[in-house]
Amino acid sequence: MARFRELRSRWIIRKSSIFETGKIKMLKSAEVRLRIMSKLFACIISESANRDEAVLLSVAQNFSPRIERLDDGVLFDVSGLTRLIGDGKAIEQNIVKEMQRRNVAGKVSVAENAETAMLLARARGASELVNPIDEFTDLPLRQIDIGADTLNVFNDLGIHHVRDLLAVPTDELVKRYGREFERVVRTIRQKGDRCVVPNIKETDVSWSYELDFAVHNFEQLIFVVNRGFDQLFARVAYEGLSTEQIDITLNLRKKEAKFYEIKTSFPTLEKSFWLKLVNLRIALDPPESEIVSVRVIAHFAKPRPDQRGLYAVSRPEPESLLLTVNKLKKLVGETEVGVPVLLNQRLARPFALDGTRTPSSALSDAASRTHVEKSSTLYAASGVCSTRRPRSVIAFNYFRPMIRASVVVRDGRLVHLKTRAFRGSVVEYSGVWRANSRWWERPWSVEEWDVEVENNGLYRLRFARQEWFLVGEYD
Amino acid sequence: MSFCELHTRSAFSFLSSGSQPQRLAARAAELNIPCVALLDRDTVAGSVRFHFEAKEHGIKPIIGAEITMDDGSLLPLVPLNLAGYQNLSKLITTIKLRNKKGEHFATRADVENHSPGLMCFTGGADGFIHNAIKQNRGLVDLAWLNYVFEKRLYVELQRHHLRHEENINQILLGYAHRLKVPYFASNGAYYADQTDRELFDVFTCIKNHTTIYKAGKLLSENSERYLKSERQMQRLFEDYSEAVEVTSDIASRVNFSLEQLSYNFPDYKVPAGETPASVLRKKTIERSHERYRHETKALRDQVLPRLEMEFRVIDMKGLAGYFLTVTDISDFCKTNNTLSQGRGSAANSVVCYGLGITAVEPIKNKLLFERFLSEKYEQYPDIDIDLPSGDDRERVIQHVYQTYGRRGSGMTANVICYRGKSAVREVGKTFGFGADVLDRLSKLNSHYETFKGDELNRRLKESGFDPTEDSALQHFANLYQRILDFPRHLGQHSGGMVVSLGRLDGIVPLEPASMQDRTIIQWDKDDCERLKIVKIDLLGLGMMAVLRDSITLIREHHGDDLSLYKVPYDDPAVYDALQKGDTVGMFQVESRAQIAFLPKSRPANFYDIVVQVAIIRPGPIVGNMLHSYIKRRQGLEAVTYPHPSLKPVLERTMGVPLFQEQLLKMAMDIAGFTGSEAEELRRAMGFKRPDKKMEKVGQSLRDGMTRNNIPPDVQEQIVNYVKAFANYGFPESHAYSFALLAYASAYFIIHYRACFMAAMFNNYPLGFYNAATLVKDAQRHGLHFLPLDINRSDYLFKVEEVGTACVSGRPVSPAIDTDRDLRVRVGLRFVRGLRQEIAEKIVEKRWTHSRLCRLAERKSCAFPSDYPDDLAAVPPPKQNGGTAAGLCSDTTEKRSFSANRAAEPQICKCGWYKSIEDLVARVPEINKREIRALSLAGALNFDGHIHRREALWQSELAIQPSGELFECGIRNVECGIKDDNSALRTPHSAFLSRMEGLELVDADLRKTGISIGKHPMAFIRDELTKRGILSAKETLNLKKNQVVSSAGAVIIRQRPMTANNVVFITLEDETGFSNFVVMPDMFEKYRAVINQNDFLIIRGIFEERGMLKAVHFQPIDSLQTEVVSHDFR
Repeated sequence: MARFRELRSRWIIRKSSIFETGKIKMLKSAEVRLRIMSKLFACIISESANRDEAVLLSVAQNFSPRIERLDDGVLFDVSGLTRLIGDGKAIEQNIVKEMQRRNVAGKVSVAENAETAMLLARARGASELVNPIDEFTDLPLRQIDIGADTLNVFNDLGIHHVRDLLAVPTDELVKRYGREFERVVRTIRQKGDRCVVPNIKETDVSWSYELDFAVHNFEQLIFVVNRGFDQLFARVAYEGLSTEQIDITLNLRKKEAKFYEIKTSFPTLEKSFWLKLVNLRIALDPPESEIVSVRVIAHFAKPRPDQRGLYAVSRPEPESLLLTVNKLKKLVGETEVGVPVLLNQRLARPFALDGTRTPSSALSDAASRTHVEKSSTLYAASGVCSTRRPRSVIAFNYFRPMIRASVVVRDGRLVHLKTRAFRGSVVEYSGVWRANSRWWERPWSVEEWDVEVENNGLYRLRFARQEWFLVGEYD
Repeated sequence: MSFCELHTRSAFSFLSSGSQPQRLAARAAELNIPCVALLDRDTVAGSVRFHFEAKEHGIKPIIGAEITMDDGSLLPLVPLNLAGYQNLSKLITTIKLRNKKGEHFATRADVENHSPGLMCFTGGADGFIHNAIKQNRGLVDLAWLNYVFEKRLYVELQRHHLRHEENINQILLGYAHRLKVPYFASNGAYYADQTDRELFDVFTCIKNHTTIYKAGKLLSENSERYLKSERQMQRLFEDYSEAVEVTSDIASRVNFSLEQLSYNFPDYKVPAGETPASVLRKKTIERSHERYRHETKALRDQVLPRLEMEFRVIDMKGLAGYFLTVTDISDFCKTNNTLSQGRGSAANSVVCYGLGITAVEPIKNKLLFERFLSEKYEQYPDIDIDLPSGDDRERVIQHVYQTYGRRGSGMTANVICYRGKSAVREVGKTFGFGADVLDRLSKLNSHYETFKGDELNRRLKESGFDPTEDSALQHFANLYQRILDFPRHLGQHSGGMVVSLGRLDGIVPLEPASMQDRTIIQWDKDDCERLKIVKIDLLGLGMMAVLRDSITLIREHHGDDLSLYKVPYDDPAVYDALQKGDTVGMFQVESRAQIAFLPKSRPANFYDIVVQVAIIRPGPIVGNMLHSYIKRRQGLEAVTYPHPSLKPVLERTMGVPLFQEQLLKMAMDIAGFTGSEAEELRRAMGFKRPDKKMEKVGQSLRDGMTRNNIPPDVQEQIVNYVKAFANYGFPESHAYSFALLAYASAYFIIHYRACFMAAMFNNYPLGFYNAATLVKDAQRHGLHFLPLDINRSDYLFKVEEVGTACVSGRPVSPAIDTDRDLRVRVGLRFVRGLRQEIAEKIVEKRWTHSRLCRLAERKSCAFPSDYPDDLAAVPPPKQNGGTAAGLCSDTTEKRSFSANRAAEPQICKCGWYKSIEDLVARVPEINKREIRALSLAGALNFDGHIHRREALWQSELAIQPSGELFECGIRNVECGIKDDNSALRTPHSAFLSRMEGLELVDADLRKTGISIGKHPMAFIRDELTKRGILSAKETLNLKKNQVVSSAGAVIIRQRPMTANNVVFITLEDETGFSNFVVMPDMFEKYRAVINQNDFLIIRGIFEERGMLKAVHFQPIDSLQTEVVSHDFR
């Protein structure tokens, strides 16, 4: 036991020496056993960690199943690879080679301790890929997780590197900075007990298919995609999940790949619904060239709670509504279908169509919000609780598109109005109402009148580009 | 009659309008609108500008205001007569003074109480009645207004081509018919032109802290709130044409103009049977005997006739009360030992000198009384009183408030406008630019720099922005130019106070200033001047405070009883220093430009200093007068005059016009101008942009000269002088007053350097140089500084005599000091992060313990355990007395306390802090940052027992927080003073290295901003010498065109507007300063190196004495310490 303790202390004191080539052979068998028993961690830090996340994970997966994704890279447990690959340095070189093979830049470090590995990797210059582990003591203290205040004091004390801090007695540090500081001491003595916390979790499943012959039309692919959906949804269902987003990438022969992101507002694994939806969506924006391959990704989502009571009111299935909306989009254009939403912007058209919202919720939200706002305004204004109902409003029906009109103006007054559908004398009118804004980007300006046409109702008339248009009708 | 616009709002409504008041008036004139009413929000701040601009264009100005009601709506009120205006002014004052700044509102009771003489409109969409209609009480509230204002209420109809307005208009018309209230049409104009809407939208974004992209419906619906012509309004209201027609009738009801305001300076209370004039006469003559007692008979003989002449003018103008009031303020200063000096054109008056208001004798110095007061001038006199900045000045200001009442006096406003950097930031934020972009953009210009022509676009491109490709940048550039000079908010003038007979708020509204216990009026100094409101300037001057403190210290340490009037003005040492340009720390003559020109002008008497103070100004530089004067002074150019008739005027300045007084006199002598015409000329030329007025007065000048047969080329020369001068010329009287202070500061610094420097640091920041440079300069002149020491330093810097002072326990050798063996002990006030109250407590506790110790010794007993009881037996500190009447003072308690202790024998050592634990125990309020700062600044070395890092390491232990985690700490030290050796009980700290060399200097500079050790450059001198790089001293005497390199800390980077983008750089090293001139192309090439490095090696070609033309720049990377540069960055 005493021998073991001695060996262990030697190991700790001269931990770097085991990485030095050749020396390992001189170690006695007990030392080798100790070395094999010890943990070893690798860390890759990359400036493009977010962009190259998949590649980095893939590199890590080549060496370990225990991977932790970090904000700026990956940490993985490479314990046990010493038998297979060699010492830490050899493992490090292997990781570097793998990264070079995959053409991904990053800084690599292997150490017995997860924190040490991360600190070393973060401290290294971008061009350096392999450094001896001795460099740890040269690390600037700012790399260690020490509060800025304390770090400034250390700086003023002339304690700049790990080496300097190691010279300070631990009890003196703890006296000043509390027992919490022991964590830092453990880190700089490379005794940290941080583990790899695997946090790689799949968020989607994918399926792809290379075609033998390029096809012109997506509809020709429906049969193939149908089979793909079978496999895809089976895998999703296997995870106990559902999906509300499917991404389809069509690789084209002459053009760049075409990408479609198809979302629903509810999760479903109903294959026929997805097929129809995908077909409608692609029909709205078909690929410009022949399709050579297809890739489909189904993103995981929690399944829809679908528990209905016996006496639950029967409601239309949302799938049907979504398909209907998409059919309408196919007919009138994608941007022309949706829930109207008033904009907090000064625009010629004061509302927009939100194609992603379902009408019922949107309307009820808007209605309830309006009601609450009005009630609160009234309440605040009167100072007493108001039970008055919201005022009735005049409904206005927008013509889409605007109807061209011809107007007779006499002595500066609107006299007669004619459209394709009707004609009549102007009984009464008000205006001109002017609105303009957006002078900082795309300026717009409109001039409008409200006109009552004999026997034909009340309309909003606009004069733009030297032409008259009926914008809509007061209901 | 024509349509009158009765409701407009100007930029003085702050962020609620897109046009200046002058522009509104000018545009109204273009549209032939005969009368316009300006109704700004809760203010009449823009009224004077609007009034005079409107008068200029021949239209009738109506002044009113929109009053913010308690529900946030606005009630437009317009005075019908003087009483109405006074009520409006009092109403605004009442609501503004009642609440915090920016939180004012009027209640219905306020409106009722101030309604007489006021006419009320219902307003626009944000009006009081509109708001009431939205809350279904429109009729009731209109009835209330009708009751309050009876026949003076009008319903206002506004149409801006908006659908929703018409509904309100119909409701208003219904009410009007029902209550029989007349109605009228207005456009509620927020801006003069349609194009100003963009600026209005930008202001809306600034007000709501949003961007133009996110502002949404906060922005205007259209651009219709511009001033509209009668025809446009008739067309807009063709269905209610009577609403347009009636506007002229309403306007004609207004019978008030700002000119009716009869401002009266407060009557001076005089004994029965006396008049202010007689009291003034008696007082002046009586005091003049004393003032002129030591003067020659020839001079004394001239005094009485001159006084008689001045009395006559003062009587004629009815200004005796004013002079007596100013005398009272001056006397108050003397009684309270506050150093004061009258400045401005008042220095030209023997009355002011006799009364003791000013320090410059005008007869001997040939000062023109007409510049101050003239029978012909309509202008009122201007007396500035310089006071030591800080508490002294505040006490005088509060004295004026107490004397004339809170509503009888107020500071004049200062209209803070959008300038270069603020304009860039505010407009940039509106367009959503991020902080980094704003930083880059704000570096495009200096604060007051404006761009002409395509300059802005060029600078934008240089900085990596291309306005041609980015519409947001285009709009930014456009709006940036337009927002410049728009008022941003009202600040307070640096010292102008207005007092009034009766209530000042009956003349102009008062509002609270940001500073506590101060109120400001809503007009600025120019507005006051235009309305002939007399103000008294009580200006704070840092140098006055320095001189005050110097006088006290000199008396303490040298026994010399000096004052501003008792300084000998012919001291050769002073002139010698000035001629060498050795003037760092001296008032007004210490700048880089002054130092460069002093060796050329070589001042040899007091008047030369007066000239020197006035000559380094933009006016003489732009007008090329500086070089002419220098050449003539050096005998390189003959003294000539533009015209023989100008010889008497220009003789004293060697034929070169340098002072404003000369400009006036020239116009009077050569063009036959009267005094008021000459003053008018000065003002007209003073406008930034050329206008008709300037052309008109300029033509009069030419006509006058032509009448006097002045040749055209001479005329042209004189007009050029006038142009250059009017903007920047310096009045001779000001120059005299400044020269007096400059001389006094020079005299003190040369003969009493320790006392002066201590006073200087106690009033820092002031002057041109940073504290580190001042220390180094003083050290080069032989002054020794003593380091910070918790047991020896006071809050303020103090002077210690050799023998009593110790450095690290060793007595200092007295042989090397210059100022009677006096040294300056660095004060705790320079320790960054150390609160003043803690620093004072540290000193107080030391002092208290010292006294307790003595008490214990007297009682021959142990150290008292019960402090409070024993403290009662300790006699209170002596008050510092014995200051010379009127001129020096020890004003604050803080200073008295400090001075008392300084005057006492050395504090007994038993009062000293023995250790850091002792310090923490005796001053428990001290926090960890403060104790760390003290450690690093070297204040806790305890006579060298521990070094700085040990002190810091110990302090970390002494100030650790309590709690379980820190249970092993030693905070629970009961009283460290019982343990004499605790400082030596150093915990294990062998791992800490002692700070050495540059590290020490760096710590000093970081923690105190000064270092009394070596200059950072001294640490690399050997290396520099090996490389052939010269020290600053070596660069002074080189041969012309010699190419050398010098290195140093960059202490000045200047790019004066008058120097055509030439940059001046001054480097400092341990031997002094080296000066470089950087041509624009060279600056552009090395811009980043120059701007981003604190230490530089510059290669330059020697051009003239001490000045090198820079050709190459290189940073010194090995030096990383703090350097504060006086620069343009």
